[in-house]
Amino acid sequence: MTRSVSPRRDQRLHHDDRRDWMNPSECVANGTGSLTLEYFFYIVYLMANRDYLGEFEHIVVLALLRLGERAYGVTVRQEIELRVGREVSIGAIYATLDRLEAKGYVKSHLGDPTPERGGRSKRFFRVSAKGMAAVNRSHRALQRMTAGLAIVRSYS
Amino acid sequence: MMTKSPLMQPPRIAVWLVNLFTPYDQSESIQGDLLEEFAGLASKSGRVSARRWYWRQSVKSIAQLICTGFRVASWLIAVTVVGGFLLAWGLGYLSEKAITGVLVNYGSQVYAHVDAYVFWLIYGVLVERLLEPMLIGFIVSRVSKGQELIATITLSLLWGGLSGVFLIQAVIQVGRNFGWPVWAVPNAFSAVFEPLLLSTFVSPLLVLIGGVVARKHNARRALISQR
Repeated sequence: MTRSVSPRRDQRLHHDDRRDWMNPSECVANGTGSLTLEYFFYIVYLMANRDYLGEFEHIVVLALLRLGERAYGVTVRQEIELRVGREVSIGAIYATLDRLEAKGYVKSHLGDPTPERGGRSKRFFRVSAKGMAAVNRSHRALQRMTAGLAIVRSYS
Repeated sequence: MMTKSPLMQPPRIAVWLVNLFTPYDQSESIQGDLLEEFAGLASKSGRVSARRWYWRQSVKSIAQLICTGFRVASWLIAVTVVGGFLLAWGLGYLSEKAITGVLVNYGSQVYAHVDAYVFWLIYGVLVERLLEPMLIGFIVSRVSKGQELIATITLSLLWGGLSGVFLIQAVIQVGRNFGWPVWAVPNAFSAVFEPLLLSTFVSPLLVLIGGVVARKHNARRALISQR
């Protein structure tokens, strides 16, 4: 005796087997299904465990890479201001670095207290191997997305 | 020993405010970074421009830290704020019960000493109304460790906002029932508007003061445990 499966359920099972759900945007785009609950949860999962860098996170990690051993709050802030031309607050820098550290992209250690800082120590940051992989991934994604775009060529 | 020119000091209020909002583990580095850049700017561009820069950085940093606090601890803040309101309701209920209990059980003695009764009723209730929000701010701040000021600011804004709505409602109600202007209505101010005015403008401020006291206490304990 064969088990009866509703057409929708059957379609969904095949759909799952093909692992198309790994790319929900494709499923929505090619008309195989609307944004169902499983895609919604997949998107939530991606957002919760995102392994890509946001724009400002990307900028901060690149600043850390440029500064190397000298990377701490003041130098990171000044480097971004100098190269990007936008004034950022020290609070924004630390909030981003804290987030990156929680993700394991950045590691920090405290330096010695210095008199010009009122006896307070500097907190030095460096990019971890995981952070390096993330910045490479983001960079490759950007390169692929911009490849062949006339608008990008006209700016460069 | 290191001595510093008082002219080279950053604005004290800005330093205090930044200290209130920074997480304990970042406080030292953020304050140190701001001071280092301030000293560099003061010697290069002058004290006035450096102080202006310090204030701008402080305001931007505080705004950023508040947004981050809401993002990383939204549940903690929501729970503590709701808890604060429940606590306010509970304490209000208990104080009402206490006053009624005193009047019922010791009524004869109260009426034998009317002056003392009036004195305690006026000042005792006022003190209770002033202490209660401060205590609630303190407790909310202690519970929302790390996000003290964000939780107490949210609570005080909601508290003031809700009381403001009730105040407007009361003004309209009294105006409709007893005529305009409402301040000419006998006993309306002391019976209706005074508690609501207190709750709209003074209580939120007292919640914040309680929050600041608890934050200072938490920060001191965190500093000791770090060392």
